Amino acid sequence: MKINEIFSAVYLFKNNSPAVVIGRHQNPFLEADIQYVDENGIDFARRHSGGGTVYHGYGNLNVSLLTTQTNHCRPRNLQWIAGLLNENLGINLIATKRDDIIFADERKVSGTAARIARGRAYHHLTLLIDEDLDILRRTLNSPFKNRIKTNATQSIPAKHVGQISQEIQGITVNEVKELLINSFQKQFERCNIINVNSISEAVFPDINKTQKELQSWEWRFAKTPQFILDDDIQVENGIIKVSSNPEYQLGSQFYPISNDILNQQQMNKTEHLLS
Amino acid sequence: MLRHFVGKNCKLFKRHDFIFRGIHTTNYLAKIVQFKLADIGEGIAEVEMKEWYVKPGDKVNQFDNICEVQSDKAAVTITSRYDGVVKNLHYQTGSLVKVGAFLLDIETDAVEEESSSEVSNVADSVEEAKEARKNQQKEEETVISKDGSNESGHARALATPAVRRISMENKVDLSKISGTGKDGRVLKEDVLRFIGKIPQLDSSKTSSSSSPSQSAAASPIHITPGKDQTVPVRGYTRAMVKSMSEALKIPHFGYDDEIHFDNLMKLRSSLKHIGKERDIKLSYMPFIIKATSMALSKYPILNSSVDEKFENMIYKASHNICLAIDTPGGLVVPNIKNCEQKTIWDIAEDLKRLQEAGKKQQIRPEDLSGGTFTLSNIGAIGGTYAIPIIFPPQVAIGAIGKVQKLPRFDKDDNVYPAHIVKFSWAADHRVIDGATIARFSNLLKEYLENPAFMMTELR
Repeated sequence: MKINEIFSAVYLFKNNSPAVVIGRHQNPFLEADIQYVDENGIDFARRHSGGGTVYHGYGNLNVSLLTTQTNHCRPRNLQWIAGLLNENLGINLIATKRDDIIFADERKVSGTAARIARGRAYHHLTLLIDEDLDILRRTLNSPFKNRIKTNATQSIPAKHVGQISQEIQGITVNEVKELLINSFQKQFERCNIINVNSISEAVFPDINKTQKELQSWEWRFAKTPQFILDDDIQVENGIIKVSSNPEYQLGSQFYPISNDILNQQQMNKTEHLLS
Repeated sequence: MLRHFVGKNCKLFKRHDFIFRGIHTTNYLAKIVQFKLADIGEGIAEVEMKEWYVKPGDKVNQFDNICEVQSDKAAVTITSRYDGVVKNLHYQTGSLVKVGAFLLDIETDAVEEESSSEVSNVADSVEEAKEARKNQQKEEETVISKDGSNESGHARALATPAVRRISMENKVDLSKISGTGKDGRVLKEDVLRFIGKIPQLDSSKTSSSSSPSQSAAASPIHITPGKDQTVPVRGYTRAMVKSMSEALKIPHFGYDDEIHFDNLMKLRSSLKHIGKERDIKLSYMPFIIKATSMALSKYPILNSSVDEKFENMIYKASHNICLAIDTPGGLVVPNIKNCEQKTIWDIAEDLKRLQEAGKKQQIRPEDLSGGTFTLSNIGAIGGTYAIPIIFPPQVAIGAIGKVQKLPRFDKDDNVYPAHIVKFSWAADHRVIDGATIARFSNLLKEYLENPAFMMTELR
């Protein structure tokens, strides 16, 4: 998204259907249960910014702050958002040094990521308001945890996940969105608020090309830094390069096998924990 | 010969005592430069190397992507400061790199001066250098790439160290020289020309006139990481700040249309030989300008001005059509006077004159004043859509996208390739209504799509 020279910042607020989003340099198989994701109509995407993996659906608000590189300051943005919500909702959110937003008892309600390139930057964050946290936990529980060796960025899972509706009964994403937008507006001399209902090539030139790239197997899977599963299967650029396991065929695209014995054992363990 | 001398015993960043035996205007001296990871800001001391976009042997250009690093949660793209060939990479993916460490070696054409160690590879960064450190000997350079928002001011000229050396040896102040290189860069040829060693481009170049349009410094500024630099807003930029602030008070409404250029293209190619004879390059702009002027004759309200207090509307007789011209000092909007009285060739000549003057930043004050209507040819830079902003006291503006080949249906429902140009109009809604702009646009469309019709309406 281009920043018009006249404007100093562009802020985006959005909300979307259930999806798990990994950071640019992450391994999807390590971060999420990809099979569960596919079987349950959850989308999977890899974003351009760094950081860890998040799950977000309709109960989450995504906020994106696009500025010049000089004006990019995540702690300032997070303190502002936390302060604003505290003031207006009477809750007690804290912006941590790790750029998370948590309640005092360490329940994490927001994760942050950023991208800096060519003098511009964006800081985006999730804000859990009214989400299905069981699905979130299930999605982010990979059967391959501890079985993959890689240089990919690994998420540091929060000890506890929380959301605003736990403190304020009945709060909606829209309410929080309006709160933020009103406050943002006051910061600027001039502010345009635009509702983007459709993303068309006519209004955003080249968006189709970008969308295609983001939806491609190459970007989502092949971009995964090389890794070794179970000290046996080596995957590079999404393709299995070494494997003694017949379930994972040499030369094919790597995809979790459902009747993988080890996989099954892990699954049993997890289901037990969740029940 | 010189290359051999350097290649042998070259310690990087050592000051070499060169004696220029003669002036050559060709590139010389390949030099290995160690590319440092510059300060990314945010107090970050260390990053992780995530991905290389280049490998040894690859040719890179300035501003090409070099690698991806990650610091905490920020994914940062590092771009090249140099043109050259990649020699070796110092880090593997997955390793930690400290800020200030050398990422890779590039063999370049430019000679590095001593202690020019810290280079920023975050091109386009708008971090600013502190006024005080400007005087320090340590040379730290950052290059801003042209993003349409160059700033003018009392700042260091954009030039390679080699050029800087020549100018120092000849006791020439680089900031006084207009650069003809990319982004207004001062090239060796510019320095030599300035000191008279090679012939001038044209005789009027030597002394700059004292008109206000010259007060903008010729060269873009250098910005060093971690240091603020205060630059007074002057010249074109100052004018733009003022006029843009005024402009946004006007309620704009937009109107877009697409125009088929196929007939115009045929017409233009049939005139190429005459253009050659007259030494005038006929782009589409002269046609568009003339057609606009003709359409303005039918809808004179679009060529009017309002005064600030809205007491009067002045319908201007002259069609002084402004064009946005990108110059090294920023965006300039001179106008071609009395288009309603000029032929298309006259307009083409004026356009050529303004473009050349713009490059040298010698557009005269009379060229800048008195405009009545503006056409912005943003398509020359790229893009297909634009939201143009009106220049008060004008009441309308048009932005022209680039020519695109797109599929369209003809009257028999067959698909054929059409050359389309999108025009985006904006008008002051206090005085112009939608119907007027729509009809004006339709008429212009008719003229450009059917040049024969345009010809019959010529006075």
